[in-house]
Amino acid sequence: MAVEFMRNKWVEVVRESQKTLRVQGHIRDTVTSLTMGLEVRLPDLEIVSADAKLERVPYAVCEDVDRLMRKARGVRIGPGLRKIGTGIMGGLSGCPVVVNLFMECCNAVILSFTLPQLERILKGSEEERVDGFRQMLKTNPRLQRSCVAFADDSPLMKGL
Amino acid sequence: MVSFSRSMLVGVEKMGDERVVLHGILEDNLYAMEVDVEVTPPGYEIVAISGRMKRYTTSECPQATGVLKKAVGMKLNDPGLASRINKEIGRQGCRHYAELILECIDTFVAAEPAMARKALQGSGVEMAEEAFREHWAGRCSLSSDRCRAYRQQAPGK
Repeated sequence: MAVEFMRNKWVEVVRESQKTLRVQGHIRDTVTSLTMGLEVRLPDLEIVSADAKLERVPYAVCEDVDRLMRKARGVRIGPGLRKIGTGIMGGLSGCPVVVNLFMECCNAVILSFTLPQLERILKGSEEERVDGFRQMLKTNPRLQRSCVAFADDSPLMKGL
Repeated sequence: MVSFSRSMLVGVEKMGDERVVLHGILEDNLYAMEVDVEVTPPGYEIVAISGRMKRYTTSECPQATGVLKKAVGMKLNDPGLASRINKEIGRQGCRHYAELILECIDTFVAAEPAMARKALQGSGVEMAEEAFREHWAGRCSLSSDRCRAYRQQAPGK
């Protein structure tokens, strides 16, 4: 059967300077086209600017949801972000697509910080990789038991 | 230069009136995976799920595919669904699988009214936008009061 509805969502993180990250996110689906940009200050991860552009919406009542982005300024990317994002951009006056893309952009910021360390670990031999992951788990205990690879019975957790 | 990027692609395939399959793909600098989630629209229940990890970071990661079956029986209109998927599929399996499944579900919630509206138009029923939104908000528990488009009660009432 033919696919009746398609969604494509992507985000990119660019390090603009020592003190700034720029995140750009896009959702393009059968009824919505939304682009979002956040400027994030380092190292505290405060969103210093936020904008959005709509090119396609499902209904006329959705046409100004890009204005919701103004409320993101001053928000810090950290614990409790989902609740904050839903509170300021979701709910009965808001838009779940805007919240979705906002959360994806913020998630990408966090993932961008873990990438360099993981790239270094993955370059090693099998034994070096195991040591690298164990070291990472020692210094980031919150990662322990966060997935199957870091479960109690995983070889990567041996000795921890 | 882009330091990190991630893409998710979801296709919603309707298999007759009683089944929908959500095809999801995730690709980022470290991970690549796909899932197929089968949902029955009347009861909004996940009745089948499969997945494949294509690129990952540790040799333990592919075990997460075996955890996907915990999603079978979960209902999309359960207010605690996201939390369950994050805990049971994410923490016990893989958080990226959990994020992809949640994206599939979110896409389905956006897709359902669009597909219903298209079906009405296809059968010659013309409904004004506001009338359709009201009709859909009253009919569909997944959309009802989810956002400004499907609020059941007008502001100030």
